Amino acid sequence: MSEAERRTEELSAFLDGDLESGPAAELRERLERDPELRAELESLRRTVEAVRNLPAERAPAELRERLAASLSSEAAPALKRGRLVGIGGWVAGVSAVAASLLIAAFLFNGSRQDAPVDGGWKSAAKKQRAKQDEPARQDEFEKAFERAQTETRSLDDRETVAGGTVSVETVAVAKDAARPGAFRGSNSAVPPGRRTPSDPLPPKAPAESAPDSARSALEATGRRQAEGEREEINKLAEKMRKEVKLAERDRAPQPAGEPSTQQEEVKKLAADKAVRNSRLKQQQENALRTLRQDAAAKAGDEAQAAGLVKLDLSLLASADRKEIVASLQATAGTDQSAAFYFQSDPQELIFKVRSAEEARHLTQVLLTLSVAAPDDDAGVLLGGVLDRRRADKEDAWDEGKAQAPESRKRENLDELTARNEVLTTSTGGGARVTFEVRLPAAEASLVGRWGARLFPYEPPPATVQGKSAGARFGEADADAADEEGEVEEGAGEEDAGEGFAARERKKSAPAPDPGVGGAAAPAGAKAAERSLGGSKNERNALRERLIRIVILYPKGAKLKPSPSPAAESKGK
Amino acid sequence: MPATAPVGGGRDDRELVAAAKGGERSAFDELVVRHQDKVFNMSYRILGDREEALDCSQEIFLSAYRGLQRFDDKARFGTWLYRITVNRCRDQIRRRGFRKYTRPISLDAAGPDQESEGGLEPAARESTPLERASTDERTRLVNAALQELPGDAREILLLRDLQGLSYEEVAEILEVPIGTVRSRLSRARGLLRERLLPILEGEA
Repeated sequence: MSEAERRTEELSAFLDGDLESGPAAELRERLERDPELRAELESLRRTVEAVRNLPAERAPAELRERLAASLSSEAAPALKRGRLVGIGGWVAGVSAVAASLLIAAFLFNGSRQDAPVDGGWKSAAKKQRAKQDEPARQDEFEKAFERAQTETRSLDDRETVAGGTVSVETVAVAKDAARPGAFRGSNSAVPPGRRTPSDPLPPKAPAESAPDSARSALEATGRRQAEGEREEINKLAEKMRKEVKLAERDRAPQPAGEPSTQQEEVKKLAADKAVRNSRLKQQQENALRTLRQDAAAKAGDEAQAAGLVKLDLSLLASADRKEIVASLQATAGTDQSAAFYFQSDPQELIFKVRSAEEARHLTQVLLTLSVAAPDDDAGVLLGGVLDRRRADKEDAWDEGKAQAPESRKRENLDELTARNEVLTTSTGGGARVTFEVRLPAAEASLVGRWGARLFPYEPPPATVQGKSAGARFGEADADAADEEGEVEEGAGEEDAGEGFAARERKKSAPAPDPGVGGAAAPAGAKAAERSLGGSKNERNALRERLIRIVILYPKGAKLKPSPSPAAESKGK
Repeated sequence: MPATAPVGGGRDDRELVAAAKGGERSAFDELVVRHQDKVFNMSYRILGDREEALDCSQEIFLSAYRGLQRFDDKARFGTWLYRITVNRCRDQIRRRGFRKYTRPISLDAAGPDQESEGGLEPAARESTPLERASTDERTRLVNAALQELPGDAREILLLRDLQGLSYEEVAEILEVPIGTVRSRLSRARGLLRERLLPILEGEA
């Protein structure tokens, strides 16, 4: 530090009253003696005053209006994580299903209030009576099943957003409640007489009792994971079919030539069975669909909660494709339409909107990176992806020096986490990490110049003639922006997609295919790949899901439809 | 901003944050009302552009809202908000550079017409036209000089001298030691003084 700098620092601290009494008194003495020092202090004081006297700019009213509009589409912060909602919804769902079980049990038992207590259900006389009661019993069963289904459907509607797996559980529980077997042994343990819904549950009884069987099923179902549920549903469906077959067999031997109401009943039951099976199949499909959508719906839930429409761009990036141009059309129920262009290799992702019209409506970009890598490496990866967000490192990036050391990438991740831009960080199985990064609208509107650079496992070697990919991107991007004239509405659209891609293609040197285990893949990448296990195809499939982008638009946004690249080239 | 004087409803920032965390939107609205001027002023002075400052302020509050659950109750909301402000403004400035969008502000070049185009606006004051013209001119020049400073110098000057935060608060916001605040501040003041020298000498 030079003498002048030290003097300025001392004067600056003195002005702020930050000097201790001893040094302050000494400085005062020097000031009295030294007019030059006094002048310097005075100029510094005036400098500080000049800043202090700057008028306070009041926030325009527009800020609150815009904020109110934005916040109204945001989920409440307390509810946003969805955990509480999910659990609460689950409990509510289970409670509702339990209620439906009680109703079903109540109805079912009510029809057989004269059933014996001793469990003599299978005695011949009782079998005969049971046969006589069969139509009524089936009717009750159908009613109970209907009620359970209604409950389930309404729960499905409610719970899909909150959790996604509850609906599966409720389907299974409802079936537990409705299947004949669940009630068949009920007479052995349940006291005779019609129960009212307000009556307490009977004490815990052998597993064969109907309510307890249902309750056990409920508890067990609550513990089951979604995958297990699917199997359970199939088993239950199979059981149900068997039950129906048994019932048919019991009714089948009828005296020939003696058309009876029982035969008609059998026909009716067979028809009902078909309907029921169809319903069951539908429910199974719904449940499976819910399961499949569960992961994808996570981001969508947030979008729905925020009143936004989701455009899910599941990038089709794979290891052996250097460039992907994807066009995406609007979601159902809106007239929104947008085309996004991707250019991707395993290390780099660029996406852009094609017009200012689209950019203007872009609320936020939710970038989900599912990284197949050991935990630590994944952290490094995201840090690498977002490295360019650091202001002070921007030059380094553009100059191709952005092969950031791992420590810095970690630091980036920490910084972003601290700044609340990393929404979720979940680890699972020690091998995969998923991050969600919300880019602000202002940044999203600049997606034409925004690029995410993915380092799968290690910083890749530079593959472009004399330049790093980062430098290539920076230049190409800026050039593209200059050429396109700040993406004005409609203007440059015909060039924006293919031109951009073509330019990038030209600038990209033919790099060796860094496919899984390929020659260009870094050693660390190979090790990480191996650590994932599975076959090569499985690993490739995994890679194909590396990147997923969800673009959120406000519901009311009217976007100018953008032609797909294919249509565009046809037009040309 | 770090001061949490209870206004409106008599609740201080801590209570409002707790209520907002519990899902009370009006509590967050109250926080916005309480801090919006300072956030906007800070953004505007860092960025030098009203529109950008407006966008940035919106993002700052949205960011705060989204991150409220992770806000440490022991920290001061105002300080946290300033940290977000500084970070957002840095991002914004970096994006400008990224798209080769620069807004050079020269002490000589900027005229009234240029300023009305979204640039640095002269402050409207209740004074005589002559005084007002003089004040406006001074404000404009100070703003222009600030914009010429490196980002870290501008931030620290604004936090300390414009917002009047203590060294400790500035250190917390910028996440640097107090010693660094002291040296960086003196350097920033020195740099600004160099740029304001013609004005300061004229006034003297």
